[in-house]
Amino acid sequence: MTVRLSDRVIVLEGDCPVDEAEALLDLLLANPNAPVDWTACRQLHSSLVQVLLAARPAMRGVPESSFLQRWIVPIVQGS
Amino acid sequence: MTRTVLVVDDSKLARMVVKSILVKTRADWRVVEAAGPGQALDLLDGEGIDIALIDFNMPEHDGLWLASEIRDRDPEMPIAILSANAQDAILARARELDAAFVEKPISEEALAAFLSGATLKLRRAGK
Amino acid sequence: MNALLEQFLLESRDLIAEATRDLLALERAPDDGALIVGVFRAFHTLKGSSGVFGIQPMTRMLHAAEDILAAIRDGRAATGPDLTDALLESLDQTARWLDELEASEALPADADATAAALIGRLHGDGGIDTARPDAPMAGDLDIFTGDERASVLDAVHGQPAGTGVFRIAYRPDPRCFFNGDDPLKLLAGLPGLAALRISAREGWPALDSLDPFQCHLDIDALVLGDESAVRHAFRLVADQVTIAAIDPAALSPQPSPIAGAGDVVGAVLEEQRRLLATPDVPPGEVAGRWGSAAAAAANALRHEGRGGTADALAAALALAQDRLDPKPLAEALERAMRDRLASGKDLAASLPSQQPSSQQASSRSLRVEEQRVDRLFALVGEMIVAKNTLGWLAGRTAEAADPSGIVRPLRDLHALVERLTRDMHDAVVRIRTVPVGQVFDRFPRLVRDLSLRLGKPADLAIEGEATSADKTVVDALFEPLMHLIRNSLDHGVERPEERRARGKPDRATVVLRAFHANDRLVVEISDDGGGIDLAAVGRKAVLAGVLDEAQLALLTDAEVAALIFAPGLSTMEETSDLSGRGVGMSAVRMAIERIGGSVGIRTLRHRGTTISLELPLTLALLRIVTVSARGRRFGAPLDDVAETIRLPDSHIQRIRGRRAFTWRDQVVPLHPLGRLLELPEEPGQGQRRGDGDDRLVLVVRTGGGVFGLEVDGIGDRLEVALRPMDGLLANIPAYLGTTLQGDGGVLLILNLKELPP
Repeated sequence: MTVRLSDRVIVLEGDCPVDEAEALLDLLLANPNAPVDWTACRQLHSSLVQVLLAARPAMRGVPESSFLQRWIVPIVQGS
Repeated sequence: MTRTVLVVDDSKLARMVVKSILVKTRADWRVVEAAGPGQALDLLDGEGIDIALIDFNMPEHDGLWLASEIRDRDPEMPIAILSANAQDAILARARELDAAFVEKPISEEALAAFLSGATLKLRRAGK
Repeated sequence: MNALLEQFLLESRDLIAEATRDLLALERAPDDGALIVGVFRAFHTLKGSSGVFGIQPMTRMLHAAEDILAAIRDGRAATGPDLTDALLESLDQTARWLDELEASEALPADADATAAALIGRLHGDGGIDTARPDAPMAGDLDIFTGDERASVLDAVHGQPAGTGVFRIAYRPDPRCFFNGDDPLKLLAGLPGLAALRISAREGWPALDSLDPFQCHLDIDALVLGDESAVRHAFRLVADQVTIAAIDPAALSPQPSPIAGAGDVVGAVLEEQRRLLATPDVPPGEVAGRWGSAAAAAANALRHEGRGGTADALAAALALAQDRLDPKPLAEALERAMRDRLASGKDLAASLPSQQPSSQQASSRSLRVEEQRVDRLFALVGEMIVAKNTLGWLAGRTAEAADPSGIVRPLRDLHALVERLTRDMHDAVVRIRTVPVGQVFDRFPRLVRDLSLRLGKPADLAIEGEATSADKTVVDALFEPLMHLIRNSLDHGVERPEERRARGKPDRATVVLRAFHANDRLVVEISDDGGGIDLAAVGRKAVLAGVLDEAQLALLTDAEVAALIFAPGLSTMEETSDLSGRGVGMSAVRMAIERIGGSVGIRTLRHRGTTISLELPLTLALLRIVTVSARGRRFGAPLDDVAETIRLPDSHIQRIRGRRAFTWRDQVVPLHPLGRLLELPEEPGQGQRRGDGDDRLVLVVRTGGGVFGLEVDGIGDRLEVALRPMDGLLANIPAYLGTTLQGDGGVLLILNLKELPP
């Protein structure tokens, strides 16, 4: 699993493929105030990005990949 | 979950390439081969096919023809058209048939992406 | 111009003609698969070759057209008049751009917007899968913040020349995840990504109603790089993405002068001024930048009819290059912009556009059968031998004590050179001989468009398109024929209801026919329309003062019909927007006469009208006689001169205050040339001719009748090459053209048909 709940933090790890979007959405619905830690995330499928954009959770850390750092972090964490 | 993939291509070499990627990425899946649209339609009836990978360029009928035949029987089956020729017209027709387009030469990455989408779709459909 | 571009222009113009023809045929036979394939192939080839020249707007537009044609070919879309219009318009635009490329080797500044508008029109026809009318205009940059734009602008400056900026609007299919697409991954693979925005297409739904597997994303991006690489990255989602090249200047935080400005010329000038002011230009590039800025500005000004200002800019450029200082050019540009504003930039609106339209721009290259060139080649070979013989003879003349033995070979040589010159002239004339089909081919399109606009269904039948004549003659046919065909459809052809009432088929037929007769080219335009109302023509002619009631009564029907060629006559009460451009049939007659032709008309009420044009096969040589009047010399075309006579004063009669004489049993008016041309009297003029001397008179016979032209002197008979009048002189009807004389002087050739008052 690349999406899991650990100590009331939702953790994204490694390559997060399309089918994990549902898991992420379920976790966010069940834990409305849980932050998302994406420090260990290398790839994030568009479907997960859109779940993050719809839910706007507090994000923790900075993901590994430069694409995510440069382009996705500002969008997901932006206002 | 084990799925059965139908690979339709008149070139044996091309079928071998697809099969080798499938064996590597989805070791537990079953692969059924057809050398042409006619044989493919025959196999559809008895083999419990879940997903179809169809070459575009075949004699007699092209892959889009076969895809539309399959679509008539099964509106939900994930289908990919395989072709080296990413022409707008072929892409548009594939889109119309709700089929994906996978460019030849087939890369492991592109086929894997299609297969993840396909499993998602099958799961959605309760299969 | 480089050879590659030249070949491209040549082939593309052919392809445009081919595609136009097939499109028109397709409209009549929408199910003809071969025609669809033909049109598709023409667009496909046009698009493909345009790619070689990096003219993206054109490639983009043609690509859109090609996609639609593919959809039609594959049965996914149907043709219709709107779509045909849009496809024809895209061919027209392509032709205009080819003219631009030929003139300036670049597309105009507004090409992006033009292409976008045409793509919109092409997609406007419903029912085509490739159409995405909901996709936003890719050129719209407002979605990006000022910071984003500025950073892209910075990034552009660090890039090698040739790097483009592309606006990407990616609207993934909602079901694309199921096909394995990952839109953001695609973006991640772009090395030149410079700005990215992700938004929800229809706003974000409440989280518990979000379908995570349906793609809700709209992706907008700016990407730097090579266009083909950018397009290649999106090739598999081409139907979901719009890629538009944008001018980096449009990214600058201040509103760009080009974006949205209606005053295109002003915008071009402003942009050149900005370019000139750009600091830190690498020294090697300076001259090139000034040159291209000056060229762009000059072209824009010429486009508006400000040739003088454009020339001033060119001079300023030379000065700037001389002094290695852009200041003179910058100042000239400033001045041009000020002058333009002062004199009103709408000058262009009141002037006829100087931009050649696609229809006027004929294929300028001349295609010649190989054997004709071979013949010329052989003749030049003989000419060289003759020249060598001449050299040898000259040598012998110098050496020989007695030159008398050289006379005979010299005479033989002269005879040989004379024959060779004649043959070479003949060969060159043949090279210039082209079929009238070159001009006729442009009319099916015109008839189609007019017949749609007027609501009068009509077909154009073309006969004898292989009939040939000199290129100058054939080219000169276009304007008059266009006017005549417009006239036929506008005034000749009746509405379908009226045709039905007269027992005619709803669809009218206009026939355009060419043939040779008596060493002349005859071109006829016939319609099966209502014919000309001769009574109305007569009334109009009397009202316009062309003739009086009594004279009218004496005219035959054919003569009354011919009155429509008189100046100031139009039979329709109201002129429509089609032919009512102040150019009447008299203008047609003058245009035809100017190239040595004549016009005729046959008309039958309710049956139709035929206008026939008779033209010389070649303009290359004209037989003239030189005449003088009041100390000036002119050429008079011998074709129109029936006889030259000496007329004793006693033979001159006065009839109603006008002078006349009898010639072959008819009374002929006599006009002195000097008075007709309003030449100033020379001092002592009256004395030159003794009272007893006969007058020198050319008896001139033209379609308009016979008259005597009195001149002071008659000189040589010559064969001359006629050069049409151009510039201001082109509108003076008294002259056909000019020719260069042996002494280098210019001789004006009289237009005897237009001379009498």
